[in-house]
Amino acid sequence: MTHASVQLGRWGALGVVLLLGGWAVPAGAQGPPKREGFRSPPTTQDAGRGGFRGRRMEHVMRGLFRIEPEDEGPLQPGEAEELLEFAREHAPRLHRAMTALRERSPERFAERMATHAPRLRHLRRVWARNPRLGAIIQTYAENLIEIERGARALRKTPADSPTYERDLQALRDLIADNLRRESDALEALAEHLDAQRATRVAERVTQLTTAGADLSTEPEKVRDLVATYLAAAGDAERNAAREKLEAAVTHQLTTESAALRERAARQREHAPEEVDRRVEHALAPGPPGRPDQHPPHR
Amino acid sequence: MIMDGDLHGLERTVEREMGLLRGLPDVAPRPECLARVQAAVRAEALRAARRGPLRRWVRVASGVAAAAALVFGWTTWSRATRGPALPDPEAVVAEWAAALDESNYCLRQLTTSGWARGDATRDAAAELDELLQGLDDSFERFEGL
Repeated sequence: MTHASVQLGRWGALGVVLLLGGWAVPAGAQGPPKREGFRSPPTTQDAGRGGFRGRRMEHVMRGLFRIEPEDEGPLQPGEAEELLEFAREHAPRLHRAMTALRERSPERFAERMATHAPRLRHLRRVWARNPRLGAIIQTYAENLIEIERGARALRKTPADSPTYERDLQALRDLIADNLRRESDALEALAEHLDAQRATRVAERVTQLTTAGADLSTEPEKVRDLVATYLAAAGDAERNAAREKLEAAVTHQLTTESAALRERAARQREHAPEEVDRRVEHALAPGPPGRPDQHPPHR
Repeated sequence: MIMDGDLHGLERTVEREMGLLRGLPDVAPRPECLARVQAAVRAEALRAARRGPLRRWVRVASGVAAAAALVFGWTTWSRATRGPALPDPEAVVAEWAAALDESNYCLRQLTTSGWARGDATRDAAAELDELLQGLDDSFERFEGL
């Protein structure tokens, strides 16, 4: 893959804007509303990731950004109050919505909390692991809602309306803010990985040197070092091999976080044109969610 | 869907615009200026009436806006007889027209977003669902970064 095509794929993936105006859930509909207009976000399988993200990174990303088994399960007695308290501390808007619903309809509140408990636990877990990342995601999500509302309203507003330019600028500002938060998140993630590097190196070396470990996706250098370690005749030779292996794994992990930072910097550099593209895409007419509404990759 | 956020936003907008209106200086509009405001209101009403199924609501909104504009105009006119006049009433007319347009827009938003239905419980549940859906989408997005 050429450098140009890598760039194209990366920015194309970044350019997948998250929103299209979704129409309302029918009155009285049960369960959380489905955002029909919500565009499929890019996935880690998107082309053009640059190849820096291996299985190690995937594991970390899943742990942070997906609901884990530990987040699942029914609400425990008193847990709704704990989640409310968490929201009060870290997510005021969420807390307002939760308390408003509880005051107006305790039954509906219990029902909604049961539905949303896994995601709320997940959010709390991310805050506990990395408050910076938690704050970024929290604000990003709230911005996302305003972006959707703003884009939906703008699509119904005549361009010659006196409010149009003002609202368009507000939409642009929100999109730009979220783009900045994506870069911030990449940097926060790099910091997160760096902070855990020693632990991760030790775990990785142990994993690699376990009998029967799958080394098929490892670089040849790592495979050779593992082989040397396993074939070592004595402690001195084994320790020396282990040190070299640790250095190689450290280099891998350092490269991962450096790639995240590089990606953040590149995203900041190209932010103005990316904002333009996302705004244009957000306001594009047509039924939401159609594949042909994905912004063309550059 | 009824959305508290929208309504709160509109409420803030109305408060802000009311503040701006209160801040406008006294002025003595010429009769032709008032006539232009009235014409603008009528034109807006006609334009809005052509927009389809919301016709009735738009008419109501335009009527309310027109009434508000006239009351405002008479009020400021009467106050102007006791104070200094602005040298450029044309600019004030433009402000009025913009305010009218925006008030029509806000009223349309209120009516089309179902404000009149007023089911507070559903509002709160919808707001909560929307916030959680936003979190779902954000986490999914960040995983793909």
